[in-house]
Amino acid sequence: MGANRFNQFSSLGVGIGLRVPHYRHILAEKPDVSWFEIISENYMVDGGRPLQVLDRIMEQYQVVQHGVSLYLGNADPFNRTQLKQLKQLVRRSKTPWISDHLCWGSVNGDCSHDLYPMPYTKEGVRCAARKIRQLRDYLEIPVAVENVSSYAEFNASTMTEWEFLTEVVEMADCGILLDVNNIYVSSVNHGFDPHTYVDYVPAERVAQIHIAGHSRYERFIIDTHDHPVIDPVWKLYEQAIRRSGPTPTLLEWDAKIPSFDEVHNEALKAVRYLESCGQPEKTELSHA
Amino acid sequence: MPDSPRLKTLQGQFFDLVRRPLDDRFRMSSLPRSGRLSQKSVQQLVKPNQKMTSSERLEIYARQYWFRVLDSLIEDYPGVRAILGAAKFDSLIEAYLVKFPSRSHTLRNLGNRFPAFLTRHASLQNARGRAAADMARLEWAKIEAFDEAELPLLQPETLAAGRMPRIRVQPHLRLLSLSYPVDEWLVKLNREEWRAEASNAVAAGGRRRRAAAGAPVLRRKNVCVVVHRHEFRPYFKRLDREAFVLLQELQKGRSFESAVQSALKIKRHSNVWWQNHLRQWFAEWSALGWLASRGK
Repeated sequence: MGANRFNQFSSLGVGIGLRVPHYRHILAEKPDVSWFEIISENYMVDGGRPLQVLDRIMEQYQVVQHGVSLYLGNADPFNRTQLKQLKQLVRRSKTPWISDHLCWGSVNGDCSHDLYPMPYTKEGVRCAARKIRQLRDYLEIPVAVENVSSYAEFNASTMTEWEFLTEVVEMADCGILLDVNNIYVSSVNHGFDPHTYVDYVPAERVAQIHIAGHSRYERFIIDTHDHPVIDPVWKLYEQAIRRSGPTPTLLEWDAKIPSFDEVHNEALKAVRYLESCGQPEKTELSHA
Repeated sequence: MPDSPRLKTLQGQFFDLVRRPLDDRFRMSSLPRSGRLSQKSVQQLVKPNQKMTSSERLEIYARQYWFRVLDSLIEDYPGVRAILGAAKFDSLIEAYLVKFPSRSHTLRNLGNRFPAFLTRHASLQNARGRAAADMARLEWAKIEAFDEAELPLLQPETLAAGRMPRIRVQPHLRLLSLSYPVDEWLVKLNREEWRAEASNAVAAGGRRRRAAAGAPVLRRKNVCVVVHRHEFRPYFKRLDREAFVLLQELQKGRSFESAVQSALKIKRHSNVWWQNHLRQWFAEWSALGWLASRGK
């Protein structure tokens, strides 16, 4: 595992999110990075510097697309114009897989630009799975869905988040982008054991892992991506790769972005875990 | 009938609660006891936990929503904010967002109706308001110029050969006829070039308040400005009225001959003046990459 059909059997190792403050350094110094994750929406434009930089980065590096606005859990249908733009970028970037969040974020075309948690219901499972299948069929590449951080839960929920995620990916037959920082954030905000979550999800479907930092307040944690990864999140990461094997891993750092070297060094801590994870534990193929 | 009716109802109710404007302390404004959007409906929708009530949990999302969209417009329109002052600007962008919520997957397009909103706003039918509307048009044009498409350049030899070429203006060019010299004011603001990127992170510190520069002195002056991209950066350039009209006509898809005929009507000049200026303008526009070939 680690390399599987949901990431086109990639063994990419540890990557970094491509961010504007680092453009100059990356283009000039060509640092030794396995791959870069790009936020699709930042490059779904018709021209100018974003695409010029992307083309230059692609001359040197593999890029993988990650989205923030598909809203795979929206009750509303996809925006077709947005999908066409996304497919153009997929063809340009040659991303081996694409990921976005298992969440919703717009209603009747009005967009929140946020990632809202789903009501964990059977109806939500069917809706999200249907849309993920539509997306995969349209883009013709594997899709992985990411668990989001959340600060509220719907009373309507009839199952846990990890049960919901598992049902969705099995019904959609898609991959998981397992964000272990998001699991930690949500576990503190909702009071569950994050290790139960990691142990439950189908390891053979984990296409990619996200690690990141966050901000702790008195009564809750916010997923700010502006700090180094904390030890409890590294422990969850270790647990995740022990189950899924050496999985492509990405450090997110989106605010108060330090120097490239500082971000890179933080990401490289994951290499130590990957090198020591060995063979994955045997897991059941499905919870179904 | 939607495919997921209960899900659609829950999502609609949640979003309607989240995007109600915040109060002066950036808190969720108070709700009635009953009704579709009420204290009771929040309790029915969102679970409380041991540390937070249903409303407090929902308020995290409400603040994130408003901070994100307000910050985006503050970032896009620093010149308008400088002209109107922070308090007036902030109340206007909130009213704008209530009337025109985002309809795009990207925050890049959030302010696309803001210039027209300002032009029509009842409280801005004065000199300062008109200057602010001009500034909004300029700042939106700058956003568009940054990442609009670029066509293959018109080759200089085509012009040098003296042929009547089929010319197209680059899609990233924006032509603005302004009543106030807001281009000068915006350059003085010296704002950074890059917009923030999309990400799935949450802003931790609340609204970023850019220090507003002192409001400029409002002196009316008609100017013709081209907003364009050169070597991947947006720039402003003033043009003579005759040159501006010529470019406008080309942008509309008119032929070279027809565009020149329109420009000739602006002001009487000698034939020599026109020959010299046409040669000079086209050489300059070609060098700046403003012209593209329309193909066969």
